[in-house]
Amino acid sequence: MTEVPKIVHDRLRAAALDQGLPATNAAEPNHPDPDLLTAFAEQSLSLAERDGVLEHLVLCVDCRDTVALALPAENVVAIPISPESGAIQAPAPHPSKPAPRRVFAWPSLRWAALAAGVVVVGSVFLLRPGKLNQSNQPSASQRIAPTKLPPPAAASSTTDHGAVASNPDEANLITVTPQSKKAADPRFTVQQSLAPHPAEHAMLLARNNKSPRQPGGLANSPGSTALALDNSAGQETAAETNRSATATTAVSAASELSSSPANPALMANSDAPAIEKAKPAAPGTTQMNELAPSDADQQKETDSALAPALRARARASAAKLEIAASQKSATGFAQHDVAQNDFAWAINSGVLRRSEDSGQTWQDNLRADHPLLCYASRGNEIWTGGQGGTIYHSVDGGMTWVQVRPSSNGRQLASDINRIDLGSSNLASNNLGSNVTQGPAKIVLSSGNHEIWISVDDGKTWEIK
Amino acid sequence: MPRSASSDNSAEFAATLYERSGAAAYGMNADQFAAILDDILRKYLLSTSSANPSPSNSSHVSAEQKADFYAGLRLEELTLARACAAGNERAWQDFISRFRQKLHKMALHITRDSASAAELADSLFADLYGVNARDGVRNSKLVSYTGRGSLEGWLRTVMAQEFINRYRKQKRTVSLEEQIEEGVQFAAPANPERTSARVSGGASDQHLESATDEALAELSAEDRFTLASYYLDGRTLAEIARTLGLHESSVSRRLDRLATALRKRILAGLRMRGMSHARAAEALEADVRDLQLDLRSRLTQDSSAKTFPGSSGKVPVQGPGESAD
Repeated sequence: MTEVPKIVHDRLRAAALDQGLPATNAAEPNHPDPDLLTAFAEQSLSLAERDGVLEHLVLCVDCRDTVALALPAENVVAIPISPESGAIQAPAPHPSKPAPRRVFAWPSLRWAALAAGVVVVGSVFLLRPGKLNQSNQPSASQRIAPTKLPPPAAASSTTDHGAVASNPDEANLITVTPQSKKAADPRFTVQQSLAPHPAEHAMLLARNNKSPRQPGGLANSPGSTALALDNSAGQETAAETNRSATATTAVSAASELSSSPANPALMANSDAPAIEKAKPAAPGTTQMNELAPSDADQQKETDSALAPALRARARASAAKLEIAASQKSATGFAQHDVAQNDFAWAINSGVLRRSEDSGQTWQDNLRADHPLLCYASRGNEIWTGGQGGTIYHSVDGGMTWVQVRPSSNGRQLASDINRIDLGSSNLASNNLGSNVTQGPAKIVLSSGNHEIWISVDDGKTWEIK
Repeated sequence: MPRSASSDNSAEFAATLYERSGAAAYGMNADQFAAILDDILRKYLLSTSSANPSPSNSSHVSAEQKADFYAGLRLEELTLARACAAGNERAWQDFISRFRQKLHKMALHITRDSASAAELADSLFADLYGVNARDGVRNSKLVSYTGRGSLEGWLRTVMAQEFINRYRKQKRTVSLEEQIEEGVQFAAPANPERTSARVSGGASDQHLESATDEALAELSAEDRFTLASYYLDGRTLAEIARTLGLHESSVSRRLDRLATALRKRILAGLRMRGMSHARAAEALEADVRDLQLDLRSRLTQDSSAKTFPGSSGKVPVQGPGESAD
């Protein structure tokens, strides 16, 4: 907190004394009555009355103490969320010297706005470790990918990964054609029927330049993460799926490969997160480490350079269950997302925007009193958070919103919400890939003061970690 | 004809308010209720317009602002409080069931001490009940409640004022004893003029004070309240935010902005008074450590204070049974 010069302290104190409202003498008349002080604290005074009370409070420490002491013990008072600008505009500027203030304030305001912009941008990158880590994953992966995976496999899987996302027909083709035992798994079927994951979608956009918004291209790699975690155990299934892919698919994938030669950056970006994310899970790690050699063997067996690409594509499609169900929530701070109802979401300049046509056109959906910073979605359920503890929740795809005020042990969340993770309250079932879309959501909020707020009952109660 | 139509509307509006208040349940008739509303209206709206007496004021108030003012009142709680003050048993039962336990919680929140809390809550409840009867008439503190804010908030405020009064009284007593121990009574009385000269020190100090006063005067009342609460009273950002109905982060940003702006404005004011930038900065940084305000002399000075409409003209906490009117 910036300190004010000490002369300001003394002049404030002296001003109170000059006005004849001694700080230590309560036997002084002309204080506002308890009704006015109560109405002031409850924000129910008219502007003129409020200004009058404020003018008195500036000079009267007794009444300031009274107002502060009379605050309710818990945050049960509905505090109207109003932007600071409104609160500042409410009191009229000093009538005697308006012009000097404007002349003085205008340049500083411009600089303050510029500085605030820089601070906001800086804080977004500094205070959102989740996003930072995610955005850093590609760069880290660029170093890891060449060592962990054979370049041809990485290139083919990456390129094909984008091809799957870019062409829904191909995805459907893969969905239908597998004859493996896993293909009969309802989960497997469901996941393939889901819409393309935003990660793949963003990668497609990044490659084809069909969308002006591409920053999510690299940040969407969690899709591959889910792929590694979820399908590492079932890679045999994926391989079978690849082998059973039709010639048409292979041809189309081949055309993708030939038309867009392996981009080192892209291929690294696609596969590396899978490696990194697989690290925490021991079984997944081993399976992933074994995956690359086995990929090479299978590539020889199929005697086709496209086989790894097809297998990677199958893995990508198999991972869609995790992506659409649980990992979609983990990408809450990604630039955009596609929900099950085909709504795409994005946050632009603090406003939550929604697209009903896969990103072709966008409409403002929610403009809160404070700028929104992040969101998370699971089907029609959307959570979005922003500055000052602003949280809104929608269960109908953004048609209606309800403001949520998390509080725990009498303490209300008032810091900025940097990240929202939305997933199943049962993490174990989530990792096993079953019923991830069932049950109440586990909402995890990362606030600006490095606190984690968790709710497992749709935001009714919260716990701070 | 328009007059009769207006009076009809007024009567209809009054009937609506009466129905909304639930005053009938406590045996309060419409005339009594209307008289209470008129008193409150006179206290707040008409008293403010009386500063500029004009024939149009009262009619203006009665025509347009009256409805808005009444709409903002807590009519149900106002009725409950006034019925309690009038000694209605049913109203007291309702009041006790709603607020008796809360009074103890409020007191505990304020005093942070269970013994003091019990004493404070019981004392206030006695004042509310009006045990200090005069001429057989019970004088309840609830008669001063006007419904501008919630009844619970009003109870908290009254309790906080009572607590502060007690605290100040105790502090003054202790302070006086300390002064006697320190031999203050043998010290020469402070000379305000000499003190002022000493405070001012030199021209630079005068410039600094006047520049600071100007910079503060340019701020809004809310900004100055924020500064005083944070820097003088040591209130937390959360407390200030709740008082002003803002978010904590907004108060934090505001304080940063104010600190920066004040420093710049004071420096600019000093430069306007002929000081170089370096000297102004030096004066701003070096000041106050040598500046000795004789607060005690200022405490004892007597000057007029801003009068609040409807103020009791008494101590912030009204005595038992005293009306705010």
